[in-house]
Amino acid sequence: MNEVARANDLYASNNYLQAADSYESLRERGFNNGHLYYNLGNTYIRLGKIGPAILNYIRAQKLIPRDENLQANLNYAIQQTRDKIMPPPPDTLATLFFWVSDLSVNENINFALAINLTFWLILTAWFYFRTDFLRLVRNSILFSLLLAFVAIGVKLHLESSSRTGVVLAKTVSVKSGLDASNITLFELHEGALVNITDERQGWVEVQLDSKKKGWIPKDSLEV
Amino acid sequence: MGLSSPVFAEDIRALASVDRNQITLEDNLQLSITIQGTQNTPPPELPSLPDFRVTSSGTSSSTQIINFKRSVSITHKYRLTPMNIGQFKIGSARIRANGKIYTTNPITIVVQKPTVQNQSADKSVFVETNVSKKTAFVGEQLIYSFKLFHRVEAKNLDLSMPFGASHFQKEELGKAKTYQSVINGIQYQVQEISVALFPIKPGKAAIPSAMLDLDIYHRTRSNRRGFFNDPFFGQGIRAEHKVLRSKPLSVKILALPEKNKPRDFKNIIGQFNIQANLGKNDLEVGDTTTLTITVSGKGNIRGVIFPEPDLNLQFKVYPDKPEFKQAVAANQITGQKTFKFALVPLKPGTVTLPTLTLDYFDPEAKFYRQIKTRPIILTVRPSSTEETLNHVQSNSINNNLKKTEIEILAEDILPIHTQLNDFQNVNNEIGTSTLIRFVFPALLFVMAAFFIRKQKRWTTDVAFYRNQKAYKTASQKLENLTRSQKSEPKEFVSKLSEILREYIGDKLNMQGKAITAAEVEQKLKESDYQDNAANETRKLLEKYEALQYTPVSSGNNLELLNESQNIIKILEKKS
Repeated sequence: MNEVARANDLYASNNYLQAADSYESLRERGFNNGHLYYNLGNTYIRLGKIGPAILNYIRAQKLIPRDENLQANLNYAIQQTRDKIMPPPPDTLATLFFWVSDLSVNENINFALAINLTFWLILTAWFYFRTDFLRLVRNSILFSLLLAFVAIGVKLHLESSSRTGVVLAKTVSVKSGLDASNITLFELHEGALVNITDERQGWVEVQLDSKKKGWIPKDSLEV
Repeated sequence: MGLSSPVFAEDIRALASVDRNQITLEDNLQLSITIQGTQNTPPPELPSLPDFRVTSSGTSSSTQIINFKRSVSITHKYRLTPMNIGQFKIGSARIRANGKIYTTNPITIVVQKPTVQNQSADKSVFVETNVSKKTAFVGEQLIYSFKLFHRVEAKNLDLSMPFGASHFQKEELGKAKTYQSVINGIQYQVQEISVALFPIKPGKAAIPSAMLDLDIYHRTRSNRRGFFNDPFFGQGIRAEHKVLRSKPLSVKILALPEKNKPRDFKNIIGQFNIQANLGKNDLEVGDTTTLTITVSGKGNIRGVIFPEPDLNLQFKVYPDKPEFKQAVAANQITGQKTFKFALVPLKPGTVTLPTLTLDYFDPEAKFYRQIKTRPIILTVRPSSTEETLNHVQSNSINNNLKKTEIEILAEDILPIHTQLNDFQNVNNEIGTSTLIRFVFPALLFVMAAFFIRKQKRWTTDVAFYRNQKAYKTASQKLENLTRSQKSEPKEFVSKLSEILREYIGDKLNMQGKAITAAEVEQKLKESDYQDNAANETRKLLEKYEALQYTPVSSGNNLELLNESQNIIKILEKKS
């Protein structure tokens, strides 16, 4: 915690390079926290590194998805990029389970745990009070519990299937195949958000929409 | 035809060629890169050509069959426009084909100045640029014009007109104009395009050459008349591609004089007029009238701003968004900016609205001027409804007016998060502990359910209650009996018999005192007690009966007590 405070102080005193080093060393040691990624994103913005800034904001979004400051800064950072690519809109599954995107994995689990505990408590109360009202409550809670379990599954599926990458190279040519000699289809610039659909031999297939799709070297982006 | 031509493998070769080696700055060069032996290659990688502007002018492919031998080739054509004079080398282009890299031969090009003859006045096409003033003040409007003079047909015009963005701000002045002009007795078609430039800093500002790419069409007349002796058939058209450059220009930019500079001068430069009008001069307290201030003239009128007039708390003032109209007249930007303020009088009386002033620099006269509005007198009568002015109502007037838009001056990120309590390491993995947390309430429930059911049975099921309590009650009674061993042997045996019967009665939920030994055995067997346990019980009860009715008791009390305890334990185990 002291190290976080020290990094925050470095940021406050405009020592952005050292602040970034401090936040990064915490991250490399496995410290996983949405606010840490958010602060790191801010530090990279101050250093003019839009790509790493967006990458860390996207990482933060998985842990603190409802943070308004994070959303504002991510939008600001995207506006600074040349390609100005906004995160993809939610697909059908994400729209159907609309609340799942607003909760982190842990929040989804804690929500299910709370409903689980409530359900067993109500089932215990059922021994004493066999009323129609309690039956309705019991059945509703059971339905919610099942929904919460499915929501955890949906969340885990969305996290693993939609891999959003951020271009870190200044400019990268998107090729038609897995080799630099292939035709350049279009170019992406630092900070561009792409959907990774495949990975082979040190190259990744990226997709922006149904028409814009191609291969870029894996080391030109980070997930 | 119908013959299928045999295909022979052919060597791949790459060749570069130009249409000429010596050109002037007014000419273009065509570079052709031909790949023989294949048509299926990506475009060639051209060498770096910093002294030329390169534009692609397409590809052409050819297939020839000579003596049953098929040869194919593809030619990529580029137009090279020289940017400087001198001798330049076009390096090797690289072509990838069949996994190999082929390179072309380098070519040397000489670029010369246009010949004197080309510069002469009677040429068929030439360009000219000029700037309205050679000396100007910072912020003063200049007109930069480009003119193309031609007396032959000109097509495919491509103009590059740099203006020196570090010294000027540019504003477009509309589309190109076309007119005719006579120079040295020769009539030219003129195409003119102009932009307004506003100098942004003092010093010597250079305006680089403008460059125009175009194709011109010369009509040539053959000496030989055609078959029909008609001039139409003897006429031909010769196309020529040209690159025309204007001479670079320079403008001396002067800083605005410090002498007599108004204190709050806002860099307004040009010539302007100001006018103020009031919607109605006679109104009641609480009524609304609109004060309109119009500034018109030529110059950077867009920058004119007026703060909310200070009316000494006699009026509530609601400013509207200023309206700006721009027009281009005679190559000059003129415009009109209108400011509107809704005024709601708060007190009755005769009021003179103060004059509003605008300071600007007149570059023609080279000094600062001030213009002002005329004073406006208005009469405010007391409200006829005899109501005090309701400020909430006056706000509704504000809603009817167009809201003043907030001008976004800059954007920045929001600050970092500093609440240290929120910086806890988050573990996103679903592990055994998560599963335990899900299963634990269910386990607790099972235990609670067992306990609750048992409790409920205690209170509602008499048989269960008696069954559960039987052993404890019997043990208690036997203990009490042990303490009173002094009693008569017959009485002792009678009590033992009673305790055992009651125990069995409790166990089987029946009246224990009244049943006989044989009935006990039968009931125990019916209730799934083992046969020898039932037998033993019957025997013991019969023994008690025998002892009770024997004239002299010969039994040992303690032995009988132990026997009773043992049989109860056996029955308890089997239950």
